[in-house]
Amino acid sequence: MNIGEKVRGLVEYFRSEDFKITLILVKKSPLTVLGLALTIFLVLVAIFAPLIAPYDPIKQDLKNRLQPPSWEHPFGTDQLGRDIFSRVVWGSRISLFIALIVVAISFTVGTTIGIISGYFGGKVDEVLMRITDMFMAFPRLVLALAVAAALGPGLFNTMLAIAFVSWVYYARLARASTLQIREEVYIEAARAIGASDRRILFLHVLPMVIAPVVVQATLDMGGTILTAAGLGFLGLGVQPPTPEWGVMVSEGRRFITEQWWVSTFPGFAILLATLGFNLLGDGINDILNVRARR
Amino acid sequence: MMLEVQDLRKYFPVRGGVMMRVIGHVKAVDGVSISIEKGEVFGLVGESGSGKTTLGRTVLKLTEPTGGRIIFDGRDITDLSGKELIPLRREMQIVFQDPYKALHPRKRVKDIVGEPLIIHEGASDTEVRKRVAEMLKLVGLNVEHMDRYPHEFSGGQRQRIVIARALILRPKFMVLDEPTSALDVSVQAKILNLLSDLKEQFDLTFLLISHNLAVVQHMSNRIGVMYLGKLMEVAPSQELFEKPLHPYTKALISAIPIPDPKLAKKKRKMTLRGEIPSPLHPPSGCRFHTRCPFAKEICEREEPPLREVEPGHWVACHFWDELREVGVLNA
Repeated sequence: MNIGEKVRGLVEYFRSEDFKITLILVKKSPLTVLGLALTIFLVLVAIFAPLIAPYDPIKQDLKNRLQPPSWEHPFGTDQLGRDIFSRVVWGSRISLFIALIVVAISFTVGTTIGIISGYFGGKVDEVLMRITDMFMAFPRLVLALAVAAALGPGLFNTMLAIAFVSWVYYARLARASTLQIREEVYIEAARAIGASDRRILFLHVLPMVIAPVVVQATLDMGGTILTAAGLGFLGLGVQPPTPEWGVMVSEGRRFITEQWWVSTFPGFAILLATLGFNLLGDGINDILNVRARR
Repeated sequence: MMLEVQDLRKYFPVRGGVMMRVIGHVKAVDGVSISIEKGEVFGLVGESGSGKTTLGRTVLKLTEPTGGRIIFDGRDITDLSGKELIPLRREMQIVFQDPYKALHPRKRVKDIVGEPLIIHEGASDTEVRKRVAEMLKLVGLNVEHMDRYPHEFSGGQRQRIVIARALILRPKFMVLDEPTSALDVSVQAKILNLLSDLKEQFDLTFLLISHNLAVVQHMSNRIGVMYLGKLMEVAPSQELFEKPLHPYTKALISAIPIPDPKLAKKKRKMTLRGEIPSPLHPPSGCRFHTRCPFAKEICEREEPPLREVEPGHWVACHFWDELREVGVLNA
């Protein structure tokens, strides 16, 4: 299939009845719209960060340290005189980048392991699922902390640590769907025409498994941003002076009673980003459920 | 000989208890021997739960047989597995019962019907399009249907897609597993005629599985009657309907509705009591004795073998000769 055909297919879809129903369902749920708006806002801020931010996020100005919010510095300045507004704006890039990469890694790894486990069953399934049980026995943040501590701090290691503990949820979900789908007649039909296991897995099972996993991925974006911020806060994530929200909250902790703005604004950013993705994920989930019932 | 099945068995283990140990077996197919000539249509009838569908799947090695041998076109395929089976799939195909479930909901007709070509011949996209178009015409669909999804079609059209997929590699042998039972009555005849035409055109051999005697009678050269995993009677089609020998066959035939009420009154009905017993605990002796109106004490003790009582006519009943005149259309 060439690109032109794909584009035409997409346009066709946007014109279709199916898409209209989706739109109606989206409109009916104000929380989904709010989630979508927050998410789009976050993405736009991240893309246009250099245009929005009035100051260099890491440039220090010790004469103006710990200034309260003003017209000049809408969110105030921190202990090194950096503009908090600019840092929060730039921080959206870091958070979004971490979330995207982590979700992409855990989505790919988790789904692959999940469909293999569910499709082959038996001993393969037993071994893989006991491994996921081991991962799930620990709270996510605690395990991510341990991994991050072992790998050492830094942006790349943070992503690795979070992906390392996230893939199991995708694997579980993909496996559960695969268990149903492998019993379908069209899978037997694929076997009857001589399709190999690999072909059946990736061309027949995968397209049917992907919808619920995508919902999990949207929901997981918020969780990942939160976890990354948590690691940053505890000093095991992204390191200063990078404007990462968790690190900023952590740095402002010392001044929380006198200079509340240092921690509060990045904290709000974390809240809004997480909320946006969670509402969107829930909304998508509901819409898919309604449509599945039709 | 196209297909020879010798003493085929398929048992499904039943697990239970805390340890999930095997506590028994469902004997879905329990010692069935059939041979199908090239160009023949062999009909297989039986109630639901008689094992006819399992037999069809096992013959194609879609499930592993528990025992017995399958000889396809002179080759013993019983022990082939995985990759060794792939070339065989070109030669033997299946048409599924429910065309609403047999087509991948996210794939276009072109990809569904053309997939065998990609798997077995590595065909290019243009080649696939060309051959799928030919095939669609052959099964009575439009070429424009190629880029649509299965949900855009009716049941009968979907079954045509299923048939096109099965036929595109030009197989020699096809299992038709209740090819019409999920369709509207008005469409059933059309699909059956299509299958008959294709059989002539491509010199196919069919194993036709159905619970509908009329369908089987319409198409088959020979018919086998299955009950609880075993064959009760095998005979040429016409002979089976005119001179059924097994009480179970007689009951099945007398259950066919007769459209003329005058004739229907004359007909002596032979109704069976009860349901088919669980294949987990099949009755002792003759499996049919629990529902047979003529069962005697020996039927409970001894299993009657499937014997050739007349040329080409096999029956598994102790009293087939005594019951010759009983229960048939006012003969």
